[in-house]
Amino acid sequence: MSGYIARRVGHAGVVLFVVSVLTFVIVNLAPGGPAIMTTMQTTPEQREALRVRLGLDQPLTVQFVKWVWAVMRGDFGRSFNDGRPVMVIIGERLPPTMLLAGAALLCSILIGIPAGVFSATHRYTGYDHVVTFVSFLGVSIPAFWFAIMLILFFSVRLHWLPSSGMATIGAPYSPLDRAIHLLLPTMVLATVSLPQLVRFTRSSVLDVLAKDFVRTARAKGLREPRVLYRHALRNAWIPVVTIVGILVPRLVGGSVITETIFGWPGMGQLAVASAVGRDYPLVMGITVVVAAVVIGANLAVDLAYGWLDPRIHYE
Amino acid sequence: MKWSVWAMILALGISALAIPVGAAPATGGAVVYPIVADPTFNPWHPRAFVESVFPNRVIFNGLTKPGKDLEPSPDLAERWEVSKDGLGWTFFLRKNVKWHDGFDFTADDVKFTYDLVIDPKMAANAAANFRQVKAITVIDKFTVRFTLNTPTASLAAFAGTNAGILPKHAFEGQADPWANDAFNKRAPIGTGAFRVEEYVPGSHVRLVRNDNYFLGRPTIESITFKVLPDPNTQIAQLLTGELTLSIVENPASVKPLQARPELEISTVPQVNFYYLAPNYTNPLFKDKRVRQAMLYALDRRAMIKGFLQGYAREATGMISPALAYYYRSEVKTYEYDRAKARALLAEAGWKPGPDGMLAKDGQRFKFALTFPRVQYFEQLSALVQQYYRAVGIEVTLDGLEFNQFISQRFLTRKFDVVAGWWVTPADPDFFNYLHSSAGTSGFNVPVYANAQMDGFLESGRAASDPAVRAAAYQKFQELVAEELPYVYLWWPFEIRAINKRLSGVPDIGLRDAFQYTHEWRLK
Repeated sequence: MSGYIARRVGHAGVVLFVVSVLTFVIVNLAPGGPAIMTTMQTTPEQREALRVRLGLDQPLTVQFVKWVWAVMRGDFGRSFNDGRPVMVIIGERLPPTMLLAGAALLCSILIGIPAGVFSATHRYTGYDHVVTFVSFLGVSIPAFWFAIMLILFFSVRLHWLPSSGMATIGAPYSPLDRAIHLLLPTMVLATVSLPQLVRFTRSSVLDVLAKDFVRTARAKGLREPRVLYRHALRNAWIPVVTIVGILVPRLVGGSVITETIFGWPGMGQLAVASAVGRDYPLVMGITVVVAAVVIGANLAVDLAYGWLDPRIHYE
Repeated sequence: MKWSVWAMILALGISALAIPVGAAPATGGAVVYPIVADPTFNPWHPRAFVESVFPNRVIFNGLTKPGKDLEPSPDLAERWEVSKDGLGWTFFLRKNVKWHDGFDFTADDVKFTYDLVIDPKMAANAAANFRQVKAITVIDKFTVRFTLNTPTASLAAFAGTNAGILPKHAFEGQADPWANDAFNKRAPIGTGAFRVEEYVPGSHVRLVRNDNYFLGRPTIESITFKVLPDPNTQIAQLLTGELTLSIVENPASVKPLQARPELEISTVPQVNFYYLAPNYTNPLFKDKRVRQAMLYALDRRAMIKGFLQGYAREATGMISPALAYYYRSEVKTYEYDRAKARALLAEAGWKPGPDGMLAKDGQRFKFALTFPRVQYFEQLSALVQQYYRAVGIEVTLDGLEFNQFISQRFLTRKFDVVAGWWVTPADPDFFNYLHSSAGTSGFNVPVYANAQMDGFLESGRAASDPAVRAAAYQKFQELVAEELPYVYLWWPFEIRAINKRLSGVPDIGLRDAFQYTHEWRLK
């Protein structure tokens, strides 16, 4: 097992390197330059001075090698457009995104999986149709429209919920305050991931319920709840875990639209702003972090397989 | 799944909520204003973009500030004198001004700040406005002299716009002032009416009143700048009352705000003009009759009604009517007149071919209109294309993402005609925008070169007597209207929504109005 994990970590290093090279090439190919150099009211002397300051007057290969060398020592450089160290900026933006992503994922799991299971066990009943229809709606609704509708309804009209931010400004810290601010953005994000979880769970459970060993369990005279919880469900988890594994990096990469509309200071906004502003060090830093999260999530999912299904064995 | 797993997930979720944010509770007298991104608390920092303007105008004071009539009025400098030859400006500074950390403000701070500005290696923001400053000398503790290499009357106005003075003692011993994150990104020290108490990146900056402010203790207790990138959220928060005031960027959003009794919608003129700039180095546009025809052919009134809901005024020149002392309306004007446009083009030798499109010596009148994909430039360019087709000019559209537009077309002057806008300080000095020397090194976007124009720009900049300046700029405006180096379109109004509880906000642009926060009152 430890050999397996060691090999995976080795692979991760290679993947991260390849991703860095590709990102570096693409971001430098994009026309334009860092936003501080591309404003309407700069003079050629200013731009030249900035180029030298930012190290952009050196050839691309030199810039990349310098970057890799610094990263090995843990230094991701300073953002061009913000000026602070890249890891400090990412460190500020990552926790809010993880909080929002975590809340959305938790909601999706807590609501989606039971709903999917119930839907599968009561297939083709009225309940099942409702769940399927609502899932379909959730997948179809555009996030930006839904977010603004929620704000208009719950904030402007009813004054029940705040329309932006993580907490009430100037108020002392309180988890309840934080939760209230989380409510609307989580609803928007969950609307996207919940339906997928419901449908996957439903089809996975249906699959398992059709298997022979379930028939055997029923034939043995076991009551239905026992058949379901003790025998069937365990075997249905693998596809569900896969989908959760896919959702985690997507949520951590940040949902730009939701974060922008709700003024949520997260990674999504940062990623887009840094790409638009051609902020090379920040774009590289974000890519590495998100790639690391994806690799980590994949590893966790693979290990979870091993735990869920005793037939799967790593050495 | 085992309950222990659920418990673990729940515990993780709860512990994630433990990220502390605010501190002291807010009491009444709080003004809240939106900004679109995290600010940089240093007006000269190359990374101080548009979102930094508002907080910095409150935290810092400049030597001068825009008066309520937009003329330069005293700020940290009580008065100033210009030497006979116009090359020496002496600023007499206020005494008894204290920095937010208690140190005294002196002439050393002014010298420190402006030494940074004129150092080309620093690439300070707006350094282009101070290129004529050769040296800064401290005469005594409260007197400082600027030595110029050519007379520049606009210095007083430029020193009042986004030109806050920085404290020397806060940067003592720092090799690179732009890397001083503790100041620039966390806790700046200024002399202004409010000082930074709390800054949460991505969320807000809260300023509290400076009890020792040299113009008197402000009435308002705190000003909070909330980071709200999305304009829809800004409108929603104006409606809920979470924001006290805001500039309304999109005129289409005005209607729902007007319906609210607690909000006051007002407009003020801006020192800002939108334009099409034909590239003077392109032989197509060398003849001034062609440029005049390009303005006659546009129905600007209809365009203002269409994109701006009427919130703009057809421009008659580059100098905005907001600069009341210098603005002259008695210049050549260009009412929408297609027949006149065609006649002028014919005079210039452009005759319609069999397909109705103009041609001369076998060459068609065809060019590319370059524009950034921001604001309403897409619609603007499409309409311009239609208007020009109606007089026989063929236009292709070249729309680009803003960053690419600036770096590949605007700054390199690689365009036929470019659409854009200029926001300038409250001064008629357009030297950098039209002088022949500013074609590639300055902001002379059309790369226009005219010796007579150069003469007016030079005398307008050099004259220290306001009457002499006004005379030079009158000639300048007459020539601009005749020559149309910029095919100016309109002066947009600034639309603001201000909660009626807030009073004392002067009737000038909000950026300038934020330099009067010590006079604001909240009910």
